[in-house]
Amino acid sequence: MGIISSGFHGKRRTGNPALPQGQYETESFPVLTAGPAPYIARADWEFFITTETGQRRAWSWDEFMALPQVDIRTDIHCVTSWSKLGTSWRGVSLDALFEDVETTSEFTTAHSYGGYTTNVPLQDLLDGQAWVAWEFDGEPLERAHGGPARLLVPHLYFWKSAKWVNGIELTPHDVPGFWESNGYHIYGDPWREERYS
Amino acid sequence: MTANNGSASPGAEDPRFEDRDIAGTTDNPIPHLDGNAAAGPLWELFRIDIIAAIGRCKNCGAVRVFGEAAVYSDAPGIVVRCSSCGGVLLRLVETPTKFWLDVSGLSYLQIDREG
Ligand SMILES: [Zn+2]
Repeated sequence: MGIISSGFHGKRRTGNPALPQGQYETESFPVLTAGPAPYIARADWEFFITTETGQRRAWSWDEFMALPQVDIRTDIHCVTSWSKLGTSWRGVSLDALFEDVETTSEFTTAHSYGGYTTNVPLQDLLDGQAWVAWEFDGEPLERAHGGPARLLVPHLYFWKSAKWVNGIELTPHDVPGFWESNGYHIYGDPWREERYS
Repeated sequence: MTANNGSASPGAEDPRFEDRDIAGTTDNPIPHLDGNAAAGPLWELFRIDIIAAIGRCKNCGAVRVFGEAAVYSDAPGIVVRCSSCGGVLLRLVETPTKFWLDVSGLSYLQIDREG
């Protein structure tokens, strides 16, 4: 086997530049969840953005699907130390969703059906860095993985990519979410190994 | 380790008829365990056998034996939920240097004294 091809079989290989420190590559897609998977029919689903002034913008599933859809190819890194490289998603950029939203807030809390929350700075959601994804690997996102739709913020640890996402609340301060309030890092950059607070 | 509910029938016509606690795919069930799954780490922390302890859920007021609670451990920490309302009773995260324990979902825990 030549030097080049060995890189494609380099699971747990140290020095793979696609893997942040302390991560190993997995082919599978482990299901991690802090609770029961809520069932949300697309007909009942909505995605909201609320601002600090009390404005609320919301999209039904059909309205959401009428927005520009993009394909995303990205690596994902879970804080429990698995990484999955080259995953394929389809969804709506947060840039499109925030297009008509006026805010001076710098922070957000993502809210999920079922009560999960996670905090992400607004600037980390914009400029092509985050999506509301509803398709994985060419198939509708399975409920176990957050379907109908989940947040996808792949440059942060994957607990920030809230499953069953329901909306984004703009907040005046950085408010720790479900894991951030109990031991996990407020920001969660895998490239700085920001696992714990 | 055994999950309480690994048997959602694939192909059920309406997914709502499946066990609501899981959204298992063929390869990836979401298991939850009972309170025993949280007993080990809590013993390590406090030397209390919590299985028979009785706790009151702050969310719904249910008073139940801890061992009946639903434990989600395929997560960045251990999450113990009320089996009546699903509310979070307790969260435990182990970092390399600390335990983080949140019991704010319990209004009390009643623990038998030994002997
Ligand atoms: Zn309860």
